[in-house]
Amino acid sequence: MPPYLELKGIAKSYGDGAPTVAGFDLAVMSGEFITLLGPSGCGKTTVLRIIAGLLAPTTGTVLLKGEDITARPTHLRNMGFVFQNYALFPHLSIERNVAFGLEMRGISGAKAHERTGRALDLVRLSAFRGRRPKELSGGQQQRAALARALVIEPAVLLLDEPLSNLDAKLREELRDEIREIQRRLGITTIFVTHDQSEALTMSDRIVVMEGGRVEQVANPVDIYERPATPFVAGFIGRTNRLQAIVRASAAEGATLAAGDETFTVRGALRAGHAVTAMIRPHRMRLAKTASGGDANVLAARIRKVTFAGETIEYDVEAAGTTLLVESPTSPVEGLRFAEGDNVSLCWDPADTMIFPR
Amino acid sequence: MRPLARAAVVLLYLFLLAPMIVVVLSSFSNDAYLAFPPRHWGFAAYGGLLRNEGFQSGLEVSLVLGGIVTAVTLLIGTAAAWALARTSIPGRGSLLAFFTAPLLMPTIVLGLALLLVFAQLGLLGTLPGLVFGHSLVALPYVVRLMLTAIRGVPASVEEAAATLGAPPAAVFRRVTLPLIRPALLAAAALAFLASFDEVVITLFVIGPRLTTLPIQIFHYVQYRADPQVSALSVVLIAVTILLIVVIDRSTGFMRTVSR
Amino acid sequence: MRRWTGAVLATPATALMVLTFLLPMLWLARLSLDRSEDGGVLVPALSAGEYGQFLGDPFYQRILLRTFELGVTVTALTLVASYAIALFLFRTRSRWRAVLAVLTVSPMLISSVVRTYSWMTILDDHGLVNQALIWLGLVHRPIALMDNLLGVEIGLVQIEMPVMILALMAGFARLDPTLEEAARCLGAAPWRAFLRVTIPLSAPGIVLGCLVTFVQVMSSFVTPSLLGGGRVYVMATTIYQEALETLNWPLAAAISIILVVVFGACLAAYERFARRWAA
Repeated sequence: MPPYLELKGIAKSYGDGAPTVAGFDLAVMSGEFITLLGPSGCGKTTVLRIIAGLLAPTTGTVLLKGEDITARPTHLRNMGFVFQNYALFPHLSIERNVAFGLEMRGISGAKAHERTGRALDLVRLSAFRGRRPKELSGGQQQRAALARALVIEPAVLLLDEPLSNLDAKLREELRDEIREIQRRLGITTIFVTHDQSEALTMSDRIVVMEGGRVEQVANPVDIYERPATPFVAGFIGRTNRLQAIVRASAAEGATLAAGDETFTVRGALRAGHAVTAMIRPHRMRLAKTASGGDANVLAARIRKVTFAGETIEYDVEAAGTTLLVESPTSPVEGLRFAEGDNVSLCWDPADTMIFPR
Repeated sequence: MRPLARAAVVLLYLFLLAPMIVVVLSSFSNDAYLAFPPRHWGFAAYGGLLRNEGFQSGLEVSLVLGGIVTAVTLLIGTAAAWALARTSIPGRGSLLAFFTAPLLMPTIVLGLALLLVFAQLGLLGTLPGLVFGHSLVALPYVVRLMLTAIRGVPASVEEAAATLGAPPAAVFRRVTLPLIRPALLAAAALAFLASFDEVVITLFVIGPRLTTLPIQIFHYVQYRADPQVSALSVVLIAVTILLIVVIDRSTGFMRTVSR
Repeated sequence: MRRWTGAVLATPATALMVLTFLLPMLWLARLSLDRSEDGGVLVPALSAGEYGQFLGDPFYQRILLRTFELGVTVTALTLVASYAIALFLFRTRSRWRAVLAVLTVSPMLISSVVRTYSWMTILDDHGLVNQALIWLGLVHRPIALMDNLLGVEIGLVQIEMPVMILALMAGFARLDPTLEEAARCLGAAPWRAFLRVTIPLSAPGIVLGCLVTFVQVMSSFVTPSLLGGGRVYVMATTIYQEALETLNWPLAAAISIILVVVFGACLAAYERFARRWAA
């Protein structure tokens, strides 16, 4: 099946400085929910605006259903856009706001009223149709902006960090609502955010970006479990980093040395190479003594204990560096450790992510 | 507040407002020439004013001129402001300074300079010449006011309209214009006043057959003291106050000044 | 596309400005270097002769001096008269505040001719002031308050007050009222706190107000013309005379440029001052 939306070789530079976006390629299937994820300044919003036609790329093409729309002006692209600051028309009521796109398409009267009504019902704002934007809360305004973008039945729905201006609780609520609506309508959606939990919970696929380039494109599980670069591993969830040298290598695995300690990992590596080993904090365990088996074990000393409600975080010293271990809280007192304890730090070799240095 | 300080402020306010009070009072006079207080109170001065053909024609010219200048400067000033706010033309900062510069120049110098150029172009004593001359002093206000107003409309709101299918002209008509309408009113009022009150530049570019109201008053009072002029002044003050109310309603400038 | 549209939209206004401002000002500067012979004949030249004439001739020197004196005197008097009102307006919590503010500032929007005429009615020999003085027995004959420098000064002070008040209030806006209170707590009598704390801290507003007033007075035309009765010669009236009566355009141009230079010097001085105070 050909891609619904395609970006080929998209690049954007301003002046002589480093390009804001470089060599961006993406193929989106119909009905997919894609998230562009990355820190501020990584170029994700730039890419979104290029898709919408609000910005012209320096090079590259944008194709919609096989057609080259790179030169097409914004108002002819039929893409719904939801802005971070909602961008509702202050001088129009919510109803007129939502109906605006229909007016531009020459749809008015009963037809427009019906479609506007349905869009407002979808976001549960029917009671507010006569109000002005400034009379609504942030969350309500965002839902109105969503209705406005959806009522025109756009080819693509674009959202630019729509939840960033809302408080945490509201963000979670709206996150679910948006995903639910998107699934129901089956609209191809591109979502931009810097919040990795939004990306992980909402997306079919995630595009991780940094410095204007794509670091990895994959579904949430793969992004989390099999990050392609140290940046992705570090950006998604928390990780521990160990700088290590490959001591010995065999078919089933390799032995790495970091500090005075050694541990094993899966995968074939060349002896003598320097690598970065990354392990997620919640994949590590602390034990009073080594339990045997083929888990990696390091001698560790507990520096700090932080109780975080659902988990306990231990800052431990091991292999010449500080590592973070996350354990679920347990009602059994005996499994808790204290500052200064000498313990064994264990984890499954398969949980180690290796990146060449 | 200490009584001495309070008395001082009251006296100073009296000094500040005395001329306006005296003019208003002296206009209700039936005397043939100006005297304060009037020997005979009445409305004769206003009656005479209505029949004064000289002032009538001057008023006509000033009103027509004011209207044209307002329309012209609103149009080209708003266009320029939009270009400064929304496009990436080079030298925006210098251009804005250029548009503002006439406000920093003495009008006597501007007037003389215009005289020199208009003499070469044959624009002296013509309506177009007056329009150009008055637009010079009205344009800076329009550009600055409209620039602030347009900047006050978030670009994302205009972008939203574009994504919803509005071509650029529709974006301006349906979104930007309604949101800058208050500023447009204020700019119109300021531009009109700038033209209506203009004296010095006008002195240099008028001709024998074309004259404005302020110029007529200027020449008239050099030789005569006439309650009709007081009456005319009251009318002009009333018009100004009316326009100030328009400006205030649109922009709430009263609140800004009193902050 | 954006750039092209922007250029088209900005062109009419720019064209107007070039026609009515840039071109004329350049022409003015160029003309000031020409010479004028008797009879108003224009001799194209590149000489500073007209400047020399203005700055060298005692007649014109006195005019320059008088304009300067007028500027300084009126500015000083306006400052004194305005400070109290500005401070009051700034600090008052009365519900008439907004009305008073508008009342104070709106005269600026009335034509200078009307404002000057108002003073003519008051300062006239039979005007309000003279009547009051005679009635109070302070004088026996009307004193000349018009057609002389005194009348011009009085009129200009009142005309410039709104501008000065606005500038002062802008300066006060940066003033922290607790500083004067702190001074009082430390034992300073109210007037002392005022002199030693409030006035120095409102200096930026004072400088701005004085600057704006000074340049406006230096270039003032209508008020000196009318209240001076044709007997008070300042820079602006001289420019008018030379241009439209004597028809010595180069001289008028030269005087104008000198006026612009004075303006520019004041602006530059203010920029320097403002930068220091912003630090």
